[in-house]
Amino acid sequence: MILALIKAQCISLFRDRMAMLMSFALPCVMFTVFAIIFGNGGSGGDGSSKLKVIVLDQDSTRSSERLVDSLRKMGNLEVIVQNETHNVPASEANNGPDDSRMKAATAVRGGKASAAVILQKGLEKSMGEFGQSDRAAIELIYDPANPLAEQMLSGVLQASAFTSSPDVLMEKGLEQFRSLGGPFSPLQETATVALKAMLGNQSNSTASGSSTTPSSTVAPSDENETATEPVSNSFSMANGIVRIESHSARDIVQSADTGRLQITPSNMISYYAAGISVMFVMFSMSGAASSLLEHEERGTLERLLSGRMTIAHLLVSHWIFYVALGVVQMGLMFLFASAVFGLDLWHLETLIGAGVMALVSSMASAAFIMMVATLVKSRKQLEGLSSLVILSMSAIGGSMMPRFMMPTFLVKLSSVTFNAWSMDGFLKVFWYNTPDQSILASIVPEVSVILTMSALFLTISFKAAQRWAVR
Amino acid sequence: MLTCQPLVVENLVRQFSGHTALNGASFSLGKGEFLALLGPNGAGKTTLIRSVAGRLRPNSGQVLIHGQPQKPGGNPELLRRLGIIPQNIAIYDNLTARENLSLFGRLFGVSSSDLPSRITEALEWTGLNDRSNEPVSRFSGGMQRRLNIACGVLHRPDVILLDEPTVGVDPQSRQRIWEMLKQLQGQGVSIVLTTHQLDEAQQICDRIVIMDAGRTIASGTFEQLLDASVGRRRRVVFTLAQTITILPDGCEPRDDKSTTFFVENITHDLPSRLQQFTAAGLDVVDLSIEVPTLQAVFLHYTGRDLRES
Repeated sequence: MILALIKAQCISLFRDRMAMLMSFALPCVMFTVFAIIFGNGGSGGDGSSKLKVIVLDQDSTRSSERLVDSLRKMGNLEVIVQNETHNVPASEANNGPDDSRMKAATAVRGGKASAAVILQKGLEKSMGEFGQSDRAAIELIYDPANPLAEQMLSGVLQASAFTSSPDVLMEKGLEQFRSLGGPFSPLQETATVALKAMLGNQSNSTASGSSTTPSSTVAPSDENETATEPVSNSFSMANGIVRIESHSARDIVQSADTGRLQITPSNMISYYAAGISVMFVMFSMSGAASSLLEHEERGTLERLLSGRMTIAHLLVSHWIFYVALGVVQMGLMFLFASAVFGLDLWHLETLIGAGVMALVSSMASAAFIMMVATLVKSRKQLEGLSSLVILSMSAIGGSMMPRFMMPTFLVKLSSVTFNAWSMDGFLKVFWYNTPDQSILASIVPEVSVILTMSALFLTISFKAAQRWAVR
Repeated sequence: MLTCQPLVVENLVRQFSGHTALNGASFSLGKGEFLALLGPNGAGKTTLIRSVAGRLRPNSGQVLIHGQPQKPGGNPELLRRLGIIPQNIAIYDNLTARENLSLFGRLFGVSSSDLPSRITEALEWTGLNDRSNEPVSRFSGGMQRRLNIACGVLHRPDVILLDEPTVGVDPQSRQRIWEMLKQLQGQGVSIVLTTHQLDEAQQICDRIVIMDAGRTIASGTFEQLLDASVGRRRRVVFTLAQTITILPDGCEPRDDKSTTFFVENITHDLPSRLQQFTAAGLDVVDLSIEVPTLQAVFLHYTGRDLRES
C-alpha cells in the first residue's frame, strides 16, 4: 500500500514539469549562485572585483614611490594616484584642511573608491621604527560600508612596505647595531654596502613587477594579525613595519562639513535594512500576485472582464495595490530598524530620499512580479518560479551580501537587476550621503533606471496578459 | 420582429486551432422567456455563452441583444442589460456576502445611491440575510451558488445567461435557486441556462434548445420536441407471474418475466392489452407506465454514445 502511494506521488511529480524543475533545478541554480558569490566561482580569485584605491604620495621618496609601484602591481587593486601639489607636513595631514585629502575622503564616502591611502611626509624616515614613532606614516581612509577593504589594505600596505624597501630597513637595523655595538670594521662596511646595493636592486625589480606580489601570498600573516585586532577610528598598527592610522571617510567629511546632515551610523544596519526590505517586498508581492492567477482559476477573471473592466483596469488596480503594499512594508521595516537598531532615519532629506526609493523600488517590484505572474500559467508555477527568481536576484543584487564581495562579472551582471539599483539608491540615502550633492540629486540615476525597468516590466505584463483578452 | 427580441444568436461559428467548437449555432430568446440550452459535454454550450457575453470573437455569425450587435470585448451599451453567471463560483471567498455584492455591484455600474438597497434586496432574495457579514469561505456550496447568481444580477439586467447554475448543490439549494430564477422571470427577465438537470429543465423552462457538435439540432417547447422525436405515447411495463414463452403482438420482452409495449391512449388501449394477456393465459402481477421525458428526447437527438473523448 505504501509502495503504491509512493509510486502515485512519483508519477505526479514526473508529470508536473514545473514541480520537477523546482525540485531538482532550483537547488542547483541556487547552489551555483552562492558558489559563485562565496566560492569565487572556483576560479581562484581571478574574477574578483578589484578594490579601487586612491593613493596620495606626500612623501615623494624612493621608498614611497616603490610602495606605490608595489600597490599598482597588486592584482586585486585598482590604484588611482592622485597628484599631490603641496607637501603638507605629516603632523598637519590628519588635522589640517588638506584639499587632496578631503577630495580623497569625499570620493571614498561617495562610494567612488573603496579606500584612500595617504603616504605621509616622513614615511621613509619612519620605516623600520616598527610603529614606535609618534607620527603616522600612512593614513588609510576607508569606507565603513566595506570593512573588508580596510583590513585587507592594512595588511597589504605592511607587506608592501616590507618588500619594497629592504635596503632601507637594513640601513635602519645597521644604525641600531652601530649605536649599540660600535662602528663597523672596513670589511664589515664593504659587506654592508654590497648587501645594500643588492637589496636595492631586488626591491626595485620587485616594485617594477619582475616578480609578482599577489595579496594572497603577501598578506596572510598581517591580515590575520589585523583581523584579530579591533579597528577603531584611530587605530595604530603598533606591530607593523610602518605606523598606519585608519580613519572613516564619513568622519573626515562630516567633521569638515558641519552644516550638513549629521548621519552617524557606521554599521551594517542601513545596509541590511535596504537589502532585506527589497528582498522581502518581492516575496510578499509574489504571494499577493498569485491572486491574479487565482482570478483566472476561479473564473472571477472571466466575470470581471465580461463587465466594464478591461485588462488594463485589472493590471493597474493590482499594480497600485502591490505598490502600496511594498511602500507600507518598507516603511514599517525602516521604522522597525530605526526603533530597534538605531537606523538614522529622522532627517527630512533622508526621509524624502527613503520615501522616493521605497516608492520606485515598490513600483519596480510590483511590475516585475506582475510580469512573472502574467507569463506563467498557474499559481504553482508562480510560486516556484518567483522563489527561484527572487532568491537569485536578491543574491546577485546584493540583498544577501555586499556586491563588493562578488566577482567582477557578477557585479556587472547585477546591474540588469532592478534590486541592485534599488540597493544602490538606498545606500546613497542611508549611507553615503555625499556632501557635494543632495540626497535626492544623488539618487537620480538609480531612480531613472528603476523607473525605466518598471515601465519595461509593465509593458511585458500588458502584452502577456492579452491571453486573457477576447480571443 | 426578430431583432426586437432580447437575444438572437445567428449562425455562430468559432474554431480553436482546428477544432470547431461552434458550427452554425442559432437560437432566439423571447422577452420573459426561460430557455434551457442542453447538450452533451463538448457540444459548445459554454463557448456559445462566452460568445454572447462578448468574451469570444466568433469566426462568423452574430449575436444581437435587443437588436444591437454584441462586440468582442463587450458592447458598452449592452453591459447593463446583460448578466453573466459563470459555472465557477466566481466570488471572493475571503470577502463577506455583503462585500461581494458591493464589489460586483460597483463593477457592473450600480450607482452608489442604489447600491445599499440593491444589496439588501439581494440578501433577502438569496436567503443570506443572517449570514451577510460572514466570509463566503464559511458558506455551503448552495449558499455560495446563490450568492454567485445574486452578484451577476445586482445591476438588474434583462437578459441573463447562467452556465450550470445548480451544479454540485443539494436538492434543497437547487430548489431555492430555481425559485429565485422563476422570480426573475416573473419580473420580465429573459433567461438562458445550460444544465444537465434535464428533469428540472423540463419542468421549469419554457423552451429547450438542444446542441450537439457546435450546432443547434432541436428547438421548441418540451411538447414540440416530444412530437418531433419520441412522441407522446407511454411505455407500459407488465410484470408477469409466469416465465414468458409467447407474447401478444406489439410487445417486447424486457426480461424473463416482464414485457414492454407502447400505448397512445391509456384509457382506451390499456384495458384491451390486459384482456389480451389474460386470454393468452398470462397473469399480470404488476404494471408501470413510463411517461416520455426530456431525457428520452435528449438521447433521441444526441444518441447514446459517450462524449468524454
